[in-house]
Amino acid sequence: MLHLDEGTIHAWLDGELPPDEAEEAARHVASCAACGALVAEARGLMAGATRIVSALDAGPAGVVARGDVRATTRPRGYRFAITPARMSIAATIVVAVGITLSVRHASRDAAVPTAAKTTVDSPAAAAAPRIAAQRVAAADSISSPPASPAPQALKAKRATVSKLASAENNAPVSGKPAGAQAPAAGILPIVEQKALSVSRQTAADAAKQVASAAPVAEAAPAPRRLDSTRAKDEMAKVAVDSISRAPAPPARRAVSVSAVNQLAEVVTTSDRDAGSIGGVTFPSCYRVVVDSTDWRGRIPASFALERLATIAGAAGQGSAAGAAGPRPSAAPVQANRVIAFAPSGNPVHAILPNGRVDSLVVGQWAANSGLINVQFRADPRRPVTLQLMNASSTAHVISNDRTDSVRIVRMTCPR
Amino acid sequence: MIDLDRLFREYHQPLVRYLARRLGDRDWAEEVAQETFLRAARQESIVSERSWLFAVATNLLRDEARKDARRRRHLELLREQARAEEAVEPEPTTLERAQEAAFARKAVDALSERDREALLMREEGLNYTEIASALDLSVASVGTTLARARKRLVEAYEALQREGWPGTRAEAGGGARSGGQGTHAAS
Repeated sequence: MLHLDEGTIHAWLDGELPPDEAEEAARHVASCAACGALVAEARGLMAGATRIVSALDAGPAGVVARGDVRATTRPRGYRFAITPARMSIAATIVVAVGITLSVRHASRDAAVPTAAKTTVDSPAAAAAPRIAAQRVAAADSISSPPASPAPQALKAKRATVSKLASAENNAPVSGKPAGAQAPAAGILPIVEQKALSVSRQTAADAAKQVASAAPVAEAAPAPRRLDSTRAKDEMAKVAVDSISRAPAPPARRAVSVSAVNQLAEVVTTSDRDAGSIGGVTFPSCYRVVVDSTDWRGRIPASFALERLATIAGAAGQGSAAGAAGPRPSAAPVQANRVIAFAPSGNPVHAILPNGRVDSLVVGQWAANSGLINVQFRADPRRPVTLQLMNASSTAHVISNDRTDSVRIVRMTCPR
Repeated sequence: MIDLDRLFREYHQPLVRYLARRLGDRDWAEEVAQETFLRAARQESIVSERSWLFAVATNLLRDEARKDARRRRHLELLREQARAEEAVEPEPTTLERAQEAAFARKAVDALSERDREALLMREEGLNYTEIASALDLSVASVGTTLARARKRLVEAYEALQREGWPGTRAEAGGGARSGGQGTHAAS
């Protein structure tokens, strides 16, 4: 048989060869030293590439998660971010359009109920009905669906995507309760508030003088203008891109963190007997920051390495048969401690999501010239060895014929 | 009609991670991912969802290739921030982590576009068929592409480690170089 080429070797190691070809490749590798060497090299390349790619997650996450840094970097990522300046421009456009329409159709103001007109005496007060009518138009543009059904559907989908994103970020896009408006209205609340608030500010003086007249004009259906459709379109143009990307700073930060720590939700040990081990000093505790999903559930998200001497008491109960080394009995023994398996080395405990150390022993560890080998037994059929290197945040995970890299961070051990 | 909710919950996180690794900017990645899902929402049906999403996201990235300058600026910013972070939190792992991230970014950027995308998609768990579909390759060539990408990536990364980062060479000195080599030789 011809030697295997690199592409075939990688496909074989990736498990992407058809069964018959995979079997043939395995047979050949077993009998061909040259190809065996290529396979070994390919394994190293795969593990190295995984580790390097994982490192991409580490830098930006560690930097971006800081509040002061976010303030600097965040606007770079938001082409359509809502800034005060942009909101001001949007509100100004809305007001300008409204005023223009009002002026253009001033002659039609005769249609306004006489009750509203007859109570107006001053020029300033005369503006109030127009502004009130503008508010009605604006409100109408917000509450009624757009003329074209296609844009409405698109807006609704965009709003849905935004809602899903914001739901994942654990924060709503806007403060409006879900279902309070028609789908199209969901994308307009901020512009609505801005536009109306600006209108209210502009008309404040006049409104004071015609306090009684304005409500009448607002309530009357007659000022509803044909131009409200045009105003709607203008407001929709402003709203579509900006509102759907409404930021929620704290929640996004939370997602960044959770996205990095994929194993945050994974605890391989039982919650029973979750009390911390009192009086035990752990030499070090670690948190798995980034991990391939293949290791999910097989190694805990956080774990504590305990010295052998501290478990000796438990071993004295007969739980750690075969443990090597001295077994001083000075360490306190907890009656409710459950040993998941009999460790022959220093025990490893998972750190629960509540920050406490689980008393269950989920693995064992041993140090050897700058390396710490941690063996996890979450799945006895597929034991996992985590190889920590001195002064390195990258650890190797080895299980059967697979080697991978994960990023680990030394953390403060729970007290 | 596609189930957008399920699609989002199933693929949003890996897609954002793929894009963030590709772009070096998580916020930008989320923005592109959102646009990708928006486009998915317009589809009546999608045959191979994961490859479709990754293909669309990749095409969106290509459309924005002109923004490479922005990415470089972002990397410069990350470097500066990593230095600032070092001053605030002089934990050994922090510096090393930032440096590794910078090396990794530079090594990934050194790959050809196709190699880079194939590698990042594979790291997100896409199988060869999906990668081939997303990148318009033949399935048979994916293995070769990945083999080349992995080899070049590791070589570029190791070369960077040997040379040291220009900005940190004086600060980290030979210790960082020799330490880095020793650390990663284990893999």
